[in-house]
Amino acid sequence: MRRPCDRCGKREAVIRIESLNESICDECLSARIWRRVKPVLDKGIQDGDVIVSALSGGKDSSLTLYYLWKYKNEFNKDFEIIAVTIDEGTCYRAESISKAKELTSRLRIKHKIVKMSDIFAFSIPQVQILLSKGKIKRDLCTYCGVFRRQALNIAAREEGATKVATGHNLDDMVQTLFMNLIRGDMSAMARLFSKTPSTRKLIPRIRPLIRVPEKEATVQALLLGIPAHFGKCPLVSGMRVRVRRMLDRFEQENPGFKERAFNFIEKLVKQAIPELTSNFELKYCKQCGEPTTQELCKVCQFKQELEAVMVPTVN
Amino acid sequence: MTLRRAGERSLTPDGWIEANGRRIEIYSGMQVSDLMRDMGISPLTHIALVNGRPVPEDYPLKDGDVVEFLMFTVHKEMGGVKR
Repeated sequence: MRRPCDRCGKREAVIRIESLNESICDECLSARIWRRVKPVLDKGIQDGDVIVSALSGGKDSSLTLYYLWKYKNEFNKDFEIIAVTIDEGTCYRAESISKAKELTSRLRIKHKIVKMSDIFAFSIPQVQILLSKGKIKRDLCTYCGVFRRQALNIAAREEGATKVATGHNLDDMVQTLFMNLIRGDMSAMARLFSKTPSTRKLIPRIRPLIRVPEKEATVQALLLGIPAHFGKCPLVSGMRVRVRRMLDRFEQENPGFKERAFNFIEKLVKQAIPELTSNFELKYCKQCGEPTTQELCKVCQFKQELEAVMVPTVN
Repeated sequence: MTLRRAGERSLTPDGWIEANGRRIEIYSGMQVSDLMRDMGISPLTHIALVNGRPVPEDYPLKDGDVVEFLMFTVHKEMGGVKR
């Protein structure tokens, strides 16, 4: 062996965990990740649940689906899994959808593909054209994220889901926390740690990879041979990219920073603003009736913006 | 040693490789982390695959290895090689 595992010494190391100052093998990595994933599943899934797993075909959502499947089958759990893919219409998505199909076929899981344009009458390439012409000012990811979230909630509701599982990993979560910090949005930060109010319209979420660093999730997906798209969306832009770059610099200089920051902020938010994390107020959009924290949901706000520049006005 | 990155491929003449327009010296006892540093690639954004299998950055390279780097996240400016 050229580089044995620092933990068991029995197998070749496959990943370096800088914060622990050790390189570990596939089995030790699997055990480390499962120790972080299983408690989330134990807490988040009950008998009889119908779990819609948001499946983009990327490595994180594919690994999430695999863990749901493993949890159900290895522990003989009584819940249903349905994979849902939201197709924004980008060329990037076409590639990842074929991977998603391959995975669901291999795991024998029901797979529903929903076109975003069928729900909102907009596709992301159309929004991209408006952006390139300078007709709208927000980042593409802002529109895509908002439309995708609502499309997923609607699709999950149609499937009779009781929970939605997403592939957000530790890196994603820390980025979101810092984005909320930069915006000074305490409510949004508290909502990340809140139990979703149980209503018929908003399906509660679980994030099985919430404590798994992105790099570990990537190596695990590779080692498991999970069919997944390993690239990132080429259209990605905006604050998240800048925050990620900043956080990576901190991580490079202080290994383990992201995990410590996540644990610290989680404790702080839960202790400092328990009334927000225990129950946040949910409203319904006065235009479309979808759940929102405002009078008009973000989708309706964005639709108005887009319609104003897409449809020629007659004076 | 052969090095591949993002679809590019360079064969190794004596003692050096060319990757993304850069000439990089290969030496005995070189680890993946040395190669990544010389190429300007960050372990926070890339995973090294040697002969198709993920390896830690302290993996010692040897003659005949095929090295690939998989970028698993965005922001090319962060330690990535500009293309």
